[in-house]
Amino acid sequence: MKTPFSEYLTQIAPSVKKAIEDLSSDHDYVSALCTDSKGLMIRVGSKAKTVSNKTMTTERGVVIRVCKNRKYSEYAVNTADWNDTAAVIKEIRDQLSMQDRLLESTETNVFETDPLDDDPCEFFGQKETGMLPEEADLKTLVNKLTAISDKGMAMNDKMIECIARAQSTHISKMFLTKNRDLRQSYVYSEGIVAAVVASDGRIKEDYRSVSGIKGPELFDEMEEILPDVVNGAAELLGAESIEPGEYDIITSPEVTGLIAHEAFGHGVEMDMFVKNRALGAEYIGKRVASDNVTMHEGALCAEDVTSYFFDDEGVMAGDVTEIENGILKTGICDALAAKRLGTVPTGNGKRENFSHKVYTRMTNTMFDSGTYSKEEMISSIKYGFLLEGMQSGMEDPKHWGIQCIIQKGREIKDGKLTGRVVSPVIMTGYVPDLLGSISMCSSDREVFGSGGCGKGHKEWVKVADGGPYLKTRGRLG
Amino acid sequence: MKTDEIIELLKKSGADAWRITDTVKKGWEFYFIRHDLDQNRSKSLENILITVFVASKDREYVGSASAEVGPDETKEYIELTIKDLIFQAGLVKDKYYELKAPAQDLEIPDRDIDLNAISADFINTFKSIPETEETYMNSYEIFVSSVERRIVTSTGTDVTEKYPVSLLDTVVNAKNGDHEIEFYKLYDSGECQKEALKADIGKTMEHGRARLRAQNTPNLEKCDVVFSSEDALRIYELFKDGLDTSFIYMKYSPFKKGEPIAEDVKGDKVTLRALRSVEGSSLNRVTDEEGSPIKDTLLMEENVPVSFHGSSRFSYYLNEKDTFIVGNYEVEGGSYSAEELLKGPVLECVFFSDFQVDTLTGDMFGEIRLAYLHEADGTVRPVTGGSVSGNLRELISDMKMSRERTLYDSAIIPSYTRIAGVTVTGAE
Repeated sequence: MKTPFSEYLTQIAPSVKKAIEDLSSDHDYVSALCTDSKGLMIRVGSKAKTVSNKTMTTERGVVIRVCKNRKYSEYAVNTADWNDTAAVIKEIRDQLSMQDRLLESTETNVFETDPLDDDPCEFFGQKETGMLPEEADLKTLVNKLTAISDKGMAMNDKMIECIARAQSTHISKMFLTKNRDLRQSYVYSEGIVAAVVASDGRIKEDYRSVSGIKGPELFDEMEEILPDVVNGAAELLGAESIEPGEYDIITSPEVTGLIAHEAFGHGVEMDMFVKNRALGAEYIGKRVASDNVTMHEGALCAEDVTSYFFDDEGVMAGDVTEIENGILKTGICDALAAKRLGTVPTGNGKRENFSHKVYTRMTNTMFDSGTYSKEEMISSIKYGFLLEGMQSGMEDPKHWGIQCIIQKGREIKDGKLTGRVVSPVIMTGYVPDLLGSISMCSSDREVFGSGGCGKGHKEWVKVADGGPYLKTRGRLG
Repeated sequence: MKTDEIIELLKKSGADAWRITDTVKKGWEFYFIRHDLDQNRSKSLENILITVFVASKDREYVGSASAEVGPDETKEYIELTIKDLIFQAGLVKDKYYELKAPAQDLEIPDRDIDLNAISADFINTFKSIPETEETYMNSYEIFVSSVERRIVTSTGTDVTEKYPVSLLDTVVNAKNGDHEIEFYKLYDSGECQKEALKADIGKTMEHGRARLRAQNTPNLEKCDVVFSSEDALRIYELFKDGLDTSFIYMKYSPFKKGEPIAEDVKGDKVTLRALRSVEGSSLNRVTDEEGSPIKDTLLMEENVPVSFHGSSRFSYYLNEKDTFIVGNYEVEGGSYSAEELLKGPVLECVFFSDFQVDTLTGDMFGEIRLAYLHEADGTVRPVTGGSVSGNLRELISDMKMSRERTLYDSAIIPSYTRIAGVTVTGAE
């Protein structure tokens, strides 16, 4: 079925448009992003369970953005009574005037920016879904997750907890200006199964996830990943520490996605170019990776949790080729940064929710596939590791340093997996070195969307990333 | 719909217990590129979190379900939501627990929070930071909020607190010709801590200058590492989380009251105390997020757990009275001077990409952005790149702490923490 659009947003649209009209009388640009996203979260463990309507992206509210005399200001609200538009407008004007007086008293200069473009556009997009989170059969879902948790606990005597967590969000967003009226609705869902094992004073945890632009019907896929999760966690109990050093490595698609995200996701977010915070700005048109590397970013380049029709600034979704055969072609850009840089936005302006500022953010960040099989890649390695499972990552866009925390490495000797496992693994290094030594890419690829991404250590948004298996060389500790 | 009206609906709902948390937040935000205003923002938000509990007749099980609703929802929607929550809570069969009885004689300070004045303090503080051509503020973001939180429960708790919360996102750059680096840092606080902020940014600029001349970290294999920045908070969180009733109940933590947490300790032992108030902290509250009163409480003394802390649910399971969710805390100073702890050979790490300690497994890791390598002969040189790793649970028996302590927003911890046997992967 087509995902229904929020009745609440439809109802407040005329009032919000009235406010835009009024504010436009003395502002050079006015827009409103209105959100109403409902959700469902169920977390079942052997000792504690939770049911909630709150997910990372549930929200309801309106943010008004204005530009006056080349200065941008915003007012975000969920306490407004849109039946009394005059009062809302007065509050917006009062709040922003108070801030203006403060900025004047502190003699603050403005980073002046032209008004954003406001070309006429009307759009109404609804993605298909099998089910809505607010209409899901909770009893069946709780029973399903309980069965997964129970089964997981029984699979290994070292298990101390098995958690099955499912969440689904029905997104409705409306972007309005004087000339634009864009509305979209879709449902995305994600499921995670995590196993915690303990033995001889050691505690280890492993997890797998599923995600997609689907309704709660996605949770049917969770039981399939359970054996891998339990076996993976048990395996970690016997894992050894890695001998620090530089190794030939093969990254699994999940780790490939982490590298994509940290290396040329954050590294080419162009709001960082405006602040002179990204080395990538100096490398457009230059080699940053081996010939084997082509990378895409955009809501259109995969169908996963962040594959929207338009972004939070009313820019239609895109598919940007960031790296083509090793050459950095371009970055991704929000609308305000694009105006400042004299370029075009790419549909990557995102907010944590309506009450947060827009930054340039990732959507789907993907390495393209190659021509090899995973087996061919393993057999090409004299000594090294196959890296699996991602925990976290961090980048240094000014210096192109990268930190990837990886769940485990499987030892490869003379082209074969030996069965020895090392964990955890921290991979660090200089991005062009890491990408420059990519020598093989597998012909398949996967996308993962169960994670969140921060700008620094805040502003959490949904992202997806992935790609094929990659063979490269990296520093592991 | 007003909170009081929702409370009336909950009273009539048939739920065995319920809790409602109404959070009203007014926020001002200012974003700067160098010292020019990128944009200014204002926000007015209210979120109401409703949790209902449904118990089995024999009190063997209880289930809970929660929903966040906005202030503009209709009575019909709230009634339907509460009905759904009661049904959902009935699907959850957890071991029985109860909400706490209301705290008596709470003294809630009446605070007047002036967003304009706090914002002005921050803006003026940043303008007054001494900069040079070599070190300067690349950008910063100022978030100032006034939060009013009301917690009401079916057991009689009804407590409202108002408090300021501030957050700064800062980027300090250092450059030498074409060579330029940055340090990114977040600061939490209640109101503006002007002098502490200026001093810390000044220190970051010093580190920036050091990083410009830093060489690649050598491969040190196993060595002593000193943590002398706020990253050391992650180390002490292993102790704090290990004392949490949820960790104890879930068997995620091996800590037992009265039993030392480590054997054959060669270094210092940890004494950790929860605090209700710390000057300037963003977490100064009279009650925790469930309405339980926060008190100064000794949690661990000389590596021996004394009290547990945590939510009412897991505290009920462990029969722990008077518990609360810890915000502010302090760790007592150790027995060493800074000079003793920095005696080489030792790697003093001051900036990581993202230093983490997994408090479940004890694994720790972080890419080194800047460290100082103190050699045995007393020479010191800045290094960058590579990483530290190890399992903190296995390393805490040889941990030394300085007598001198440092306040990081809500925690006071030893200024220098030295751990032996950390794996250092070089970048050479």
